[in-house]
Amino acid sequence: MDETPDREPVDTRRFPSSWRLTFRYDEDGTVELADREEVAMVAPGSPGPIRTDGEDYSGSWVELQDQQGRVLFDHVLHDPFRRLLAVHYPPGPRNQVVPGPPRPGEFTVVVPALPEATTAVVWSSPLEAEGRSEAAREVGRFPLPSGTRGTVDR
Amino acid sequence: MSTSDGTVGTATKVVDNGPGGTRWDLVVMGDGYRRSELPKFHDDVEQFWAEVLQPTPPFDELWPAINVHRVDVTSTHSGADMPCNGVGPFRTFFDASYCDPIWGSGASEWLLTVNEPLAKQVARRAVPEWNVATVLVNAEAYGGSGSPEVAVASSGSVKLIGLHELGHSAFGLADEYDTPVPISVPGEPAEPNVTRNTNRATNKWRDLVEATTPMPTSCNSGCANCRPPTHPPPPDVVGTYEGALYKPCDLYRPFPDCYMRGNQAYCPVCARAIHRVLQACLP
Repeated sequence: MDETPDREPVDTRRFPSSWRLTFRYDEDGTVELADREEVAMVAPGSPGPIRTDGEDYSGSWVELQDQQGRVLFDHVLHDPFRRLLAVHYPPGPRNQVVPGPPRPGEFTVVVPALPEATTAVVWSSPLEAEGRSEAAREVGRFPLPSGTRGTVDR
Repeated sequence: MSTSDGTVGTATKVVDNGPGGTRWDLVVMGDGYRRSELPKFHDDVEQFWAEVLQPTPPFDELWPAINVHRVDVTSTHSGADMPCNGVGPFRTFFDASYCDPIWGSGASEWLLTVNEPLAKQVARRAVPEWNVATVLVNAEAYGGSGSPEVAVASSGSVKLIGLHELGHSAFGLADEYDTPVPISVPGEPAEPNVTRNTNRATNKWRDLVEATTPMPTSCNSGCANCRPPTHPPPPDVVGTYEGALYKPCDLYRPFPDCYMRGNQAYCPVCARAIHRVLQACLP
């Protein structure tokens, strides 16, 4: 798989304010932007280069897009829908995960308040354990600053 | 078993490397500590940051980017529930529990969870510019868990589990262990530390792979798609080692071992991901 990114992540230090975005999801897989708070803080950086085509990837992340749909920033998340439960066997390193039941919940990300960002997009692989490594798809698209709703496939 | 089972006291910035909001602000809270046990909580927090976090690469060199805030949360009772062994229920502020039945059949006695929405709410009120929270549970039994913003570990296992769960919560790192969960195929993992790609020209951590390192670097027996190297690689080089993300075959990790797999130091790829996240907070 060609996984060559086209550009490095934005330097968040250039943006002294950020958005704390809180996404809420329910057992049926509906995702909504529950809260958008502007905070006077520098957003942490992205742990890797920006993905250029989300459909080629598995997992979950939130990205900021501009009006033309270009990805400006992304934030990779480990299991934000809490479907895989880690079990740490003492004294390590024998670990494993087990699927958890669907439950409502929420997750929060801090992203830089980029002036050009018009949309926050949530991507996720299917939530069932068998689908965890299937390609991610867009499960919610939320204009900034107002919120809309999206749905996660089950 | 609710907020009536304790109190939220003062927040203290125990590591001050700069103004809040310009650094990476880690909030450490306790659960299952009675008021009389606050000195123990303070010792546990100090042990966590001074003996676990600060000396661990790459946090050692990134330390100027990090603030640590301690929030004194007290509980009516000491410890944590363990309903699968008939222990508890205890009245603790964040409802810490091993093997909580709300997690279904996956709730083993090593799964330690808390009321995460409440933990986030308390962290946010105490430190508005918080980035990630850690809840130390006053218990010796091995256990922990991690969500995107809250890492949980018992005070008795904070070194191994705390660092692993912080890897998830703060840095988006994937599990590198390969104990199987039924998972099907396509897609490159978004996380920076696991891949399907063993091509040295396009692999996501290719700049850390020496030209002499075989790719793939190791294969697991019985994995049909992995072609083992003709010569074993030197020890502890970055490459593609088969077995990661709950799958023994076809998914690769960058190093033989790492906190995201077992109990060895963060590998160079994970360390770089942590560096990328925190460099925005360096002075």
